[in-house]
Amino acid sequence: MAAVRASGVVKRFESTCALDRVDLVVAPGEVRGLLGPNGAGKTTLLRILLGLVRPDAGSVELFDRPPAQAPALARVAGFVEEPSFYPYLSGRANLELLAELDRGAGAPIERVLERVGLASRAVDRLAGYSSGMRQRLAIAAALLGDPRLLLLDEPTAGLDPAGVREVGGLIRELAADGVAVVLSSHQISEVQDVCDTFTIVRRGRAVWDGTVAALRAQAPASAFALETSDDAHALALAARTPGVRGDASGRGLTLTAERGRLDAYRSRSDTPAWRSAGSSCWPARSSRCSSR
Amino acid sequence: MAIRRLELLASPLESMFFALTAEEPIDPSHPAELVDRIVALT
Repeated sequence: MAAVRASGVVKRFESTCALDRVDLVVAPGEVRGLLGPNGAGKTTLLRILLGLVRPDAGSVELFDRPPAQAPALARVAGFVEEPSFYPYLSGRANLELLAELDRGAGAPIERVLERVGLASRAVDRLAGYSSGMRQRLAIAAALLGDPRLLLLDEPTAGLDPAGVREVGGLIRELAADGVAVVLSSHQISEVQDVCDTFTIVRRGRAVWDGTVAALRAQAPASAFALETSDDAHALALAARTPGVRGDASGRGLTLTAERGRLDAYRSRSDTPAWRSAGSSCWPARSSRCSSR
Repeated sequence: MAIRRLELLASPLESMFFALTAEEPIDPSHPAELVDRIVALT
């Protein structure tokens, strides 16, 4: 039984077609990234899955039932856009309030706080929480209903790298327990290590659907901006280095280098001038280059 | 020849994502065009 089975979903807002025949299938234990630029239709699709908006055409089933049926949504939780809490209440008090509004059904609050790693900060006011802690609290709120499907809108938005890792780790733990997760993002780099599969949407249409590994297999080499003391020499060196391509344009030099090939290029350009320049040549992001 | 700056513009997955979602989609098998468009945005 699929956690999500959506077929040919269409949603229009006046003259704008927000979703145009989108298909989506998510299995239990799968983490599906719903990716696209802002305005691509990601949040609209999540709203439809949450039963907040009705599609104009197509079909949606959650655990083989339409979202409008209570038994289907009882196993579904999540948030769209930025989750909001009472900043003057503690994390625990916020969850208690939500549980009361939800008639207290579901998982014990202590267990949920423990699950998201907030047990030790549960009595602190929300105003003192970091962005990552707020996102984890939002996931805790979603877990109150002990869901089997989580729908998370931009759960890593605004987080620093440590926060992205925290939330990603939590999502992987939930998936390991069989929870299906659909998360949206406009930053593929933030979710590439969390997701099993991607659906990429552009202007309301799904333009790619499949595993992260399959997308990686189709992807071009990494692209780099390059500044040198001798651009002609740099291009000639690229032409002589297997797996490396150099291009010059009005905007400067660029390299595309297959995984592991950049080191060969760097070592061949390792002139005395290069060595004397030392690490100041390398901007912060370049530390990622050789590992990709 | 000294390298003064070598900065990652886009990882393979970022390039693919950009190619698929650009205003005018780009064939990812044409890296020069793809990189040129990425550079134009950065």
